[in-house]
Amino acid sequence: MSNATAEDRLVADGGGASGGRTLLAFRYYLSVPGRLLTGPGIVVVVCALSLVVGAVIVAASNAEAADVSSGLTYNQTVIWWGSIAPLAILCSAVGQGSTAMLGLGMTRRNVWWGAILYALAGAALTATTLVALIALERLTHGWFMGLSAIDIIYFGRGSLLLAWLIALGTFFGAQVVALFFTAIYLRTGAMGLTLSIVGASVLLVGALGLVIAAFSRAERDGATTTFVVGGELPGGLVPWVLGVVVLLALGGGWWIYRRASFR
Amino acid sequence: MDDSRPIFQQVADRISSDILAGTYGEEDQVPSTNEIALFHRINPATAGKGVNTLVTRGILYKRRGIGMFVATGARRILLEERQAQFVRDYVDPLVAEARAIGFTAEDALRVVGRRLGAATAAGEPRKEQS
Amino acid sequence: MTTAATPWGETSRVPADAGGTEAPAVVVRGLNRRFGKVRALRDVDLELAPGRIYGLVGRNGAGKTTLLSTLVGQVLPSSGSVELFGRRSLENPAVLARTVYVRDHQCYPDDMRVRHVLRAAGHAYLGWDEEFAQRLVADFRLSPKARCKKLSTGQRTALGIIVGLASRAELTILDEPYGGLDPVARGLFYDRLLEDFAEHPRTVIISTHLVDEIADLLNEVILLDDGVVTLHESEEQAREHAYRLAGAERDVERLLESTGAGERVSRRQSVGSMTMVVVAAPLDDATETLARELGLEVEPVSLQEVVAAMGTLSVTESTAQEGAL
Repeated sequence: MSNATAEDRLVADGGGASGGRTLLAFRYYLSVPGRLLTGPGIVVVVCALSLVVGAVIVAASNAEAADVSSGLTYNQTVIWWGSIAPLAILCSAVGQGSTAMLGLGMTRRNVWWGAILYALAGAALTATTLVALIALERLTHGWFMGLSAIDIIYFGRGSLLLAWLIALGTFFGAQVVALFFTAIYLRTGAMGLTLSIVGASVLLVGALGLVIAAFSRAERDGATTTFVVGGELPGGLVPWVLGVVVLLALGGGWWIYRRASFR
Repeated sequence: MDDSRPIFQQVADRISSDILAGTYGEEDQVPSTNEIALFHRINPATAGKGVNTLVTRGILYKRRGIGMFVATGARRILLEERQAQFVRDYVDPLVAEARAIGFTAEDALRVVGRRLGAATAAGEPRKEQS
Repeated sequence: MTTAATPWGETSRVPADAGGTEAPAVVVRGLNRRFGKVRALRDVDLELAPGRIYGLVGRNGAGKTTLLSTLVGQVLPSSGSVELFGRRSLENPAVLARTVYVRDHQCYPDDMRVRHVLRAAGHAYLGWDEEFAQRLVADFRLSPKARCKKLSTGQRTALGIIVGLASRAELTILDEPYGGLDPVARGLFYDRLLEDFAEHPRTVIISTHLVDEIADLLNEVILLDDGVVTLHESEEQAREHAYRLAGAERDVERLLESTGAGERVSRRQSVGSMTMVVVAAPLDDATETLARELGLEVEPVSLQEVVAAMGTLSVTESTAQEGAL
């Protein structure tokens, strides 16, 4: 059946409802097999490399495995690479693929929320892989060597659910913030992107300044500050601030993207 | 297809020539507009317009659901049309040219007669170049 | 699906409600688009009927891509409206699902391969014909495994043509589907387009500045010049907007002077005492009679020549206007 009949059109209109077409955009991102496995793959590779490095250090320096392990718990490679590689792929998929997707009859709404859906799916897969590795690491008492390659401080070293949520938030948030800048690039071009990155850097430096000021005030007053540890909010202040930033990037990115013109 | 005349006319002329040459006999089916369009790499609507001018002139007729056919008497209609055209397209320019190069009426008729005789002797009336 | 008689008197498969009563495929009203100070589109009005092949022609920078991108909402209009199939097109999934638009040098993500592009396009259309797509892939000798990034210009164009044709979208828009294609591949494109169009009529818009090759394929021609639609007619009518005049220079000049056609001359070439001019105006009876009396040759010109003639004239006219201000 190739010619569109009236019935076909009804189906097309039904399937053309925004939700269905957003799933179509999601499928478009998935049309390159293996794309979604980048995050999990990197987590596995980083874990393996950390183990090798840890083992080499233990063997070469006669250091105690426990000491090397506690050093490894500060290792953040998995956070960086688990975030950067998938976000680079997603940003190029949106940046270079927008006109192709729109050309296939998708709307900006479809393309944007499809990308968000893809980011969420990727982050969930990556977080799940990571938590599975953490569980395995604990079960095997540090891969039978007493080494902590993946059960790092960043993920809480406690509840697996908490680790999963932290990982999900980190990997998803990183992609959303990157998509926000992609939207700026698509809407305003390279100049706008540069300016917005400069602006964001200023904000970041300002925020750091505030944190440092709060620290020093807390030291001077000898008081426990709610600003730094956020004692009054469950989980502390930092995740909440980051959560708001990600939400702003999510909505702001859409607001910017929906008005982009593709010349 | 050339630029000198509208394409639909060229399509009609081509089919007419083929009918005159006997490629399509009376009551034979002619190619569909889509086939014609593909053959000449032209828009189907243009091919259809060419075919339609032949329908209006009573040279082709449509059998619903089957296709286009050469009408009985199509050859006669075409011959009459061509004979009328002959004077305008060939004789008039010939006369003008004959005058320009200083042929008398006698000279011109003699040459034409000789040519016509040769063609008849060869047993095949010369087909118009398309 | 019903069988209906087409205007040219033959039966072919067309959508049941095709014909005069169906909403136009495209209706554009008062469309403007600015990019900074540049007015890329100026007060464009356009109405395109379903089931026809349109050629959008004009020089580079005339605004062809901007117009096409605005039709499907990829470029947002500064003012004016676009309706497809009787409904606003902007961000309207029900309408856009019935369209396909392939850009000139269509860009794809770096990690995508030819088969990924085709798979994604296949998901997007109910009418997608995978067999046809595969046949076209073979025709154009594309490797399904090739990375889009590594494709040559011609291969990229071919991939765009495949996506455009195999999707069978009711509104199919192809921007410059010629880039890097050799004559054999271009011929292939024309043949496949006509074959498939005959079986599955739809509205096709093809933009190009290679007018002559495609002229015979078109139902209608839209000429865009500096953001303005200067002509929108059937291919036959469009060709009547200019004619060629040749003969002794003295006689040509006399004719141009007495008919006032001299102002409309867009091209002039002389060999010895012979002159050939292209006049960008319809040929009227008086001119034709006079030309015959003077023994001048009067000939129709190709569509390409019409486009060139009209383009040249409007450019000189606008500079003349600017000079007058």
